[in-house]
Amino acid sequence: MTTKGLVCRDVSLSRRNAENQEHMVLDGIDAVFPAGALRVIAGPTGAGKSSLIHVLGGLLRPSSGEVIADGEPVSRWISAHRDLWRRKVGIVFQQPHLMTRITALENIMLPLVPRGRPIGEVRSLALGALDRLGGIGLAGRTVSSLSGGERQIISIARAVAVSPRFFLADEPTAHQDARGLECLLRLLEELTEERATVVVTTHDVRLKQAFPRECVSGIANGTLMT
Amino acid sequence: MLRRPWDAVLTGAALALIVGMVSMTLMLTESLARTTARLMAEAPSLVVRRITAGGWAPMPEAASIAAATSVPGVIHAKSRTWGVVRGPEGVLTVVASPRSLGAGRIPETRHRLPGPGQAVVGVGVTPKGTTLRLRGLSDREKIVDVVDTFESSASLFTHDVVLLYPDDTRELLNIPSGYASDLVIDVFHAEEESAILPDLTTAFPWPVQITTRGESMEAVQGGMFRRGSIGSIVMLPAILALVLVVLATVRDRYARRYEIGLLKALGWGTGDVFRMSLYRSLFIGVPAAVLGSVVAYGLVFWTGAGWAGRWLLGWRELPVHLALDASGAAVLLLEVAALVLVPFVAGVVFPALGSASADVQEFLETGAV
Repeated sequence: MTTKGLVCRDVSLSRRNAENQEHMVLDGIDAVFPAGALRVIAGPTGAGKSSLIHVLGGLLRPSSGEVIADGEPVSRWISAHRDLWRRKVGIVFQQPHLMTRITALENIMLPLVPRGRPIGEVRSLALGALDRLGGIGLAGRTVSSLSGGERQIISIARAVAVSPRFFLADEPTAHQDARGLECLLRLLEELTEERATVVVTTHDVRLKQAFPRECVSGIANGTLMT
Repeated sequence: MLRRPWDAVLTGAALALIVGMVSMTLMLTESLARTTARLMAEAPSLVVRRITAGGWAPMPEAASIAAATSVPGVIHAKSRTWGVVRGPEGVLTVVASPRSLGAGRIPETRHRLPGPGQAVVGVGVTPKGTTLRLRGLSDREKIVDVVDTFESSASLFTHDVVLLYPDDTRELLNIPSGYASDLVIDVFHAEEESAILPDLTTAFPWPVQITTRGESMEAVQGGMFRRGSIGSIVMLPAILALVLVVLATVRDRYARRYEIGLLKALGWGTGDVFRMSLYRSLFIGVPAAVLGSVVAYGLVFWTGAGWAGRWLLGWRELPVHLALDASGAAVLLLEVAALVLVPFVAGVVFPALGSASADVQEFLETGAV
C-alpha cells in the first residue's frame, strides 16, 4: 500500500566544502514522515537539518537513495516534473528569502502566481495566510522596513498560502518571541489536522519541548536518530 | 519593473538610442542601394561616347545611330545631349529634353517638358516658379524659368539635373546642331550587352568608349560598398554601446539567478520563469526598438537625408531624397532585430533557460536577502 507522506530511503548527500573536498552532509537517512503527522528534527548547527529540508523539498537531488512523496519517487524525476511537484510543497527557509522590490503581501502571492488563479483570489489567499499568523498589518509594508521576526512571518505565510500538501520549515522560530511561537505552534497543529506532512527542523529548545518526545528526532553529522 | 521604473527607463532609453543609430545607418545605406538598383534597372543597356585625344567629343547624331543600328542585336539607339554647367550653388547636369516629344509631357512621369528659356529641375536645384542662372562652357550664360520639378523619389539620379529645351542645351554646352553628347543603345537580350561590344566598336568610324549597364552597376555598387563601409564605422559606437548594455544585463545574472532560484523553489516552472523574463525584456525592448526605429526613420526620410548624408557620407551639397520600399523596410527591421533586440532579449532570458536542468538550491545559493 502507498504511504501517504514523505519517505526517505537511504538518502545520502555529499557536497564540496570550501577546500573543495567532498564531505557527507546527509548519510544514509531512512525515515518516514507520514501525512497528518508532525516531525521535529533537532540538531546542532551543521548537522544537516537544512540540507534534509532542501532534499525533501526537491531543491536538491540526493547523491544516492531516493525521496518518495505519496508513493512517487520524486527525487528521480527530471527537473520539469519536480518543478510541478514542488507546487505541493510549502517551504520556509532558514533565511527568509524575500524579494526586496515588492511588498510583503506580494511576496506571499508569488507562489500562487503560476497556478493560473484570478488575481483577486490570489490576493485573498495571501491575506488569509498572513491573517493565520496574526501579521495582517504587515501586508503593505516593504521588505526593507520589516524586522527579522516579521520577515520570518512573511516567509511562513508564503509557504502556507499554497495550502501545502507538504510543509517543510527550517528553523521557523529563530526570530520569534513567545507570541510568534504560539502562533506558529497553532499553525503547525492546523496543518497537521489538514492532513499535511509537516517537517520542522530546529535547535530551539522551546519548539522541541512543545511536542511529545515521539515527534522529535535528532540529527547529527548527517545521520538521523529516532 | 514598475517599482524601480528608472532601471527600466534608463535601459530602454539606452536601447532606443542604439536602435536609432543602427537603424539610421542601415536605413541610409539600404535605401541608397535599393534606390540605385531600381533606377539602374531602367538605365540603357549600352552608352557610347566618342573619344578624341582631347577627351570626350560630340558625335554626329544620324551617322552614330546608323552605325549602331547596323550591328545585329541592337534594337534601338537614341542620341542624348547633356553635360555639366555651373549653377548658383554648384555644378549641375543639364540634359536636353527629347525633341521627339515636342512640347508635351514626359509619358512615364507626366512632367511638363520645357520650352525655350524654361527648365524642369531636380528637387535639389531650386523650387518651381523661380529662375535659374546657368553658366556653361566659355562662360556662356543663360537664365531660365523653372516650370516644374522632378519627383523626389527619383532624386538619387535627378537631384542635380536641369532639363532644358534642346537648343538651350546646345547653346550652353557648345554642341552644334546635328551632334549629340552620347548614344544610348538597347539590345535584345541583356547577355548581348558584352557580346556585341567588338562589333559595335568597329561599326563606328571614330574611336568610342562603350559602357555596359553591368559596368555602370558595378561602379554604383562599388560606391554603395564604400558608403556601407562608412556606415559600418559609424555603427561601431552603437555596437559597442549594445555590447555594454548586454554585458550589464549578463553581469546582473547573479541577482537574476537568485531570483530564478527563489521563484522555482516557490513552485514556478522553467517555462513560467522563461515567460516572465521574456515579457520583461520585451516590455523594455519592443518600445525602445519602435521608438528608435521611428526616430531614425523620421530623421532620414522625413527631414530629408541631408544632415545624415553630411554626417555619415560627407555630402556637401544637393542632398538626395531617399525612399524605402516595403521589402527594404522588412529587411531593415530584421537586421535591427538581429543586431539589437535578439542579443538584449537573449541576455535577459538566458539565465532562465540555464535553470531548466540545474538544482534550484544552486541558484538560491548565489545570493540571499
